[in-house]
Amino acid sequence: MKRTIPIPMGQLLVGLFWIGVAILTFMGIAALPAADPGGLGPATFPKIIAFSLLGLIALYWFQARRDKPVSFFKSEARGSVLKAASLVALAYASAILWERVGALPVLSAVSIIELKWIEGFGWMKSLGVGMTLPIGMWLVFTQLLGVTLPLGLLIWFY
Amino acid sequence: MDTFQALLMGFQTALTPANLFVCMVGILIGTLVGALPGIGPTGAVAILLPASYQLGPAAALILLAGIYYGTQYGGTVTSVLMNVPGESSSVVTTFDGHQMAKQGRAGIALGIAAIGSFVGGTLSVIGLMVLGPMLADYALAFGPPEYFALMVLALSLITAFTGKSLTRGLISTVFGLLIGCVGDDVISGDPRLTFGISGLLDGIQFLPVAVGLFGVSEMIESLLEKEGPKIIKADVGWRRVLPDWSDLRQSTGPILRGSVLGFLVGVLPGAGATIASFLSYGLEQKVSKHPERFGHGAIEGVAGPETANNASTGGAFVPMLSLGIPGSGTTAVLLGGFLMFGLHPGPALFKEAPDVVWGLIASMYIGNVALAVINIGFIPLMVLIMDRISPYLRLLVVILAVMGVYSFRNTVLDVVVMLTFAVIGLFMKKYEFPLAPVVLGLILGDRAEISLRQSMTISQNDMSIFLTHPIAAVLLIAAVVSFFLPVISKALGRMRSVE
Repeated sequence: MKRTIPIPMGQLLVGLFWIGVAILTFMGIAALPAADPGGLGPATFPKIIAFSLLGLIALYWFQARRDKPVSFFKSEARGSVLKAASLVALAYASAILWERVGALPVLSAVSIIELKWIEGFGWMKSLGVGMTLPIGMWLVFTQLLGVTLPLGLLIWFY
Repeated sequence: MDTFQALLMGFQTALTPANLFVCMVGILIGTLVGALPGIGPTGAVAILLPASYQLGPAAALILLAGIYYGTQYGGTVTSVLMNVPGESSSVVTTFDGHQMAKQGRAGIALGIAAIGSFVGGTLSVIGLMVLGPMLADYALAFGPPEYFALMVLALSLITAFTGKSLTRGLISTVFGLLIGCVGDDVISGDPRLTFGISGLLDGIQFLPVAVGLFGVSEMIESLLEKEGPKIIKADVGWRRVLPDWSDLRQSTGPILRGSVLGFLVGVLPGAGATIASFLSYGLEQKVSKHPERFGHGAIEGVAGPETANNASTGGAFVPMLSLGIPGSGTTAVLLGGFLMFGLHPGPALFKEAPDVVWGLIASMYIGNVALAVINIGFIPLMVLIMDRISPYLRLLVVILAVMGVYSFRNTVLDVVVMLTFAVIGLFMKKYEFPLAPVVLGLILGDRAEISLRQSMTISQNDMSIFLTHPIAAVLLIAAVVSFFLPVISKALGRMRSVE
């Protein structure tokens, strides 16, 4: 079947992402002077790079006409994509709750959820490993390496 | 201070109990990580970089270097026993190594790989010791135009030799350069591309970007792949890994050739262990009287490439330590490690931080001995640990990444940046954009910009300064040539096939 757009959809979207990056660059340097007296200004280097990126995207799309379509959702099983998306969501959630709830409670919860629903282990294993692994890592970082991690809810025990 | 004295001083640093312990830990982790399919040397070094920050410069760099050359051997275990390379430089080992395993010679394949890795690794450290300071002395005369040209050469080499498409490689490089522009301008102090986010005034840190791109994205990607193959149960006890005289005789030539070839390829930015191992395999096939044996369990097909990939690690340290140019994704991450401690790899490093540099070099000698001992004596244990860890690898990496990246500056913003780059990295890999140029662009970007702007100030905005300085001109010509070399060779190949 002939494509209505000469470039595969995936590659088109990737190109649009890069265009977005170039546009953000132009926006981020809009208020800066292009040149300082006696030399290049702070906006010159990013501007050159952003223009280069636009040129490269044109070239990328030109070459992508011969490419096969690449898609996450056709080549992989839907369940795997869901699991990958869940892992990313869990990691973002842990970042959001990190300081409020505390590093150890957050990582324990994330570990149990990851082992149970993403890896597919039974409850006993998920709870056992999901508790011991974060505690072990916590001890390594705080006691061995001397790193300060947020206590969050654990502050009640201190 | 001559080289010998400097090396003795290095041994003083490397042989302290703490550093010796750290070196062993690095090698063990590296070997294990290299053996686990799904996480490469760059990812391993990137993930452990934040945790190593607390150790101080010498110990941290010894640990990370240990991981780096440990991974080069670790990949061999899965290549031989599972026909699955732990990382790309072990792909070649599957050709004959797995065949040897099928013939009941898995132990010999692993043993000769360990011996080759030891010889190649040790000879390449000698090469690094000789060539590194020489190159650094020469580069001390470099001014801003020469530095700018050097950065362009490094970026063009890594763009040209990584990935399948030059356009995609360039887009990756440009993306890395743009990330490097975020934060306060290095000369005027104006905030650039920060969009009012105060956390970005210091710029996007190299560490979360590297951990996200190479470590976490690998783990997400592994969820999208089908279940990997199982390990072949083979007798790989230490008595079974010692090759006999006939095996050793057959392997001596490939090991020596692999050492020289691997080191020289490692020195070239952008080439690295994978190319070294493939070139070595090709060379051994060419010089062999029985090339038909290759692919059917020829020991030379394991000895040569395994030596070459380890020898390339020593080579890769030459441009990194003496010129500040990383030759690969892994050395780019290691370079980031130096910068994290306020050390700037380049010509002055050998003079400014001799204890760190020579301690690192000395630790490589010790590390290569330890690598041989561990890999000959503890292969069954490694296989067992590998088997136990692999089901929890994803979780372990995510926890390590989140804790490590947070502890670097105690800010959640870095964790968010890491996760964002993990997602970006996943899509980049899916659409065949190489990742190494992003990190290289990020690291070299501000140095390239400073050199460019200083050159323009000196010349009063006259671009011919890059042509009137002979070294800069030669480096820029080399950059142009190296950049178009793959295109030219591809075109020549097409012409030949048409004929």
